[in-house]
Amino acid sequence: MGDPILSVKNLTVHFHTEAGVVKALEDVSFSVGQGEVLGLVGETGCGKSVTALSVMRLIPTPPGRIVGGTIHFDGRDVLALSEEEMRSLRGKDMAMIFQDPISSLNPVFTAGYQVEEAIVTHEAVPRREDLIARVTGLFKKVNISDPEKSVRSYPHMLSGGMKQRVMIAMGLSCSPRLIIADEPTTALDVSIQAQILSLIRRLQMEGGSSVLLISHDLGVIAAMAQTVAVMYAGSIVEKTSVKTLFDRPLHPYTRGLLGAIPRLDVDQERLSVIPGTLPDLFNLPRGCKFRERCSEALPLCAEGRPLLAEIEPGHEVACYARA
Amino acid sequence: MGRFVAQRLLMLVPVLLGVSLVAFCIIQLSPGDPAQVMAGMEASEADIEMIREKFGLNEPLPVQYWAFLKGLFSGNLVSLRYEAPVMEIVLPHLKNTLILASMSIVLAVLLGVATGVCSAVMRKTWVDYLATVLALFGVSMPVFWWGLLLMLLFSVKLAWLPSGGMGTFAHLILPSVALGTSSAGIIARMTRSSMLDVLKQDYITTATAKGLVRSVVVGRHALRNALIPTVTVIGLQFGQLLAGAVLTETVFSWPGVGRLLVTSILSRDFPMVQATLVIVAALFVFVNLAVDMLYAVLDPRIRYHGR
Repeated sequence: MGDPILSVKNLTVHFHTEAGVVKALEDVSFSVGQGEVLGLVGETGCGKSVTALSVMRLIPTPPGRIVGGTIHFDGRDVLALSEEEMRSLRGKDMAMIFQDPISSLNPVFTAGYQVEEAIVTHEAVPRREDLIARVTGLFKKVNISDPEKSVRSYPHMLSGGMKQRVMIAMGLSCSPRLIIADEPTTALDVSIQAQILSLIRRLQMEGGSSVLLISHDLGVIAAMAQTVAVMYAGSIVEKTSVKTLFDRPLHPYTRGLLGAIPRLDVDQERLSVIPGTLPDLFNLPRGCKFRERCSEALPLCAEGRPLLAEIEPGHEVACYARA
Repeated sequence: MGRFVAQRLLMLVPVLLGVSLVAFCIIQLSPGDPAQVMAGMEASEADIEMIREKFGLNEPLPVQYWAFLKGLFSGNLVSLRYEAPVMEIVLPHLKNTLILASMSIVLAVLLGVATGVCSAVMRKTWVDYLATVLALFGVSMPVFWWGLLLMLLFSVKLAWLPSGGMGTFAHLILPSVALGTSSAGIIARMTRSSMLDVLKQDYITTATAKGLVRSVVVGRHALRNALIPTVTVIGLQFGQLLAGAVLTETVFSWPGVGRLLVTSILSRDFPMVQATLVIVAALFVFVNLAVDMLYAVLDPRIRYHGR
């Protein structure tokens, strides 16, 4: 696959709030290869979105602050770039599709205008007709119904699914090399979800972009990604290919997640759940963050925090019980 | 849109009837006899009675009110003091007040919106604190006192600007600053809070993620949304300005409708006072109608349909 397009190493992000310091990310490392789809999975509040925003350098500062680690995009050190250089990357080389299409489009501008803006920010398109033709073409490509009319529509005149298509058209407008999709289907209903996912997949294969796909839905990840990283309380606990993850999960948390999926072929009285709740990010316990909910915890787990280690080829796990 | 405007204009009728009734009652309840004032201190009882007869001041109140309404809408209501049709006197004064109020509102909007945006963007920095202090200062300053202070500095001490009257553009500066300051303060506070709210919205992150420059994100994407609630306040502030004009015009001897109102009250020129109040109320209603129509321009989600 060659050099990865995105490589994140030991990323640590803190939020300084009035109630104290939230350790949102701790030593997060992963990379996305050229043309690869990496799935980042985990429950709400585990740091998936913070990771995405950090890569785009969109963490609101203050209160957020990247306190450690490096982010390399196409060999360039993202954290060392000037704001000006960063701006030329955003929307052009790396684009983001957000979770909630309803609140992510500006209500007072037409859908077409908002996509046009993404293009003219990065490219000189001298003729207005060319620009409109290009936006209409993009709208066609993402299967927006009646593209000529939709470019002139305001967001409130479009459905949720159509709005997300507009967001995707906006993201694709400058043929980015990396698309960060932060829960792109969470706000949509199930039938639309499938359409949007297959659209992203088709466009990714056509354009050869790499995708960082963030989701809490293991089904979405299974359908879309080649590689998966599982996050828990601000850290990656397991990272491997999709097939291995579903066939042979090693981390107790991943096993718990997969075990919690209700199965149609087995008669279950109760859903199986992971006992306990997420640790308080203001006040993380010593040792492994999953220890208090883990059935396999060893005395060692209370001592230090396990780091991600390759346990078998292409399968990294952060767990003392597996080392 | 046409039906909406027609409906709102129709609503003007009960509003103006109400205002005219209230104005009429207040004047009747206030002490002072116009006939006495017009005839002078030395006048005999017979002279005063003659004046009452001439202007219909001895008729029962409902009859007087009806005569006032008829006169107002037919345009031949006569001023007691000038002994000329009220409209001929009010309209030129109204034009002067509109010049002053428009200048004040333009100043207040420019200053208020700019301050509010800077405050919000540089939240919790010295810029924000300074802007907050200035805005509170502007809002709390009584307009007559602030006007006198301005006059003292710029007309008396520095002799840069005329202290009163009307004529050149220089005459307009001090009164419009004095009158616009408190509105600027309120608009600044309103813009700040709505801007802070808008800056937290997801579409602002989207705009930044597109690679837009900060000034475009703030000035185009955020401001357009933040202005929607601010515009309401601007419309209401126009009413404040008309009220403030009474004091400002008196301080700066500006020949507007506010000063006309004061002198008319002092000379017990009942028809003039009542007519002025009704006209000013109508103006306020028109301005707010204009504001409501401006919403549709700012926010595409708003479309007016007549019901």
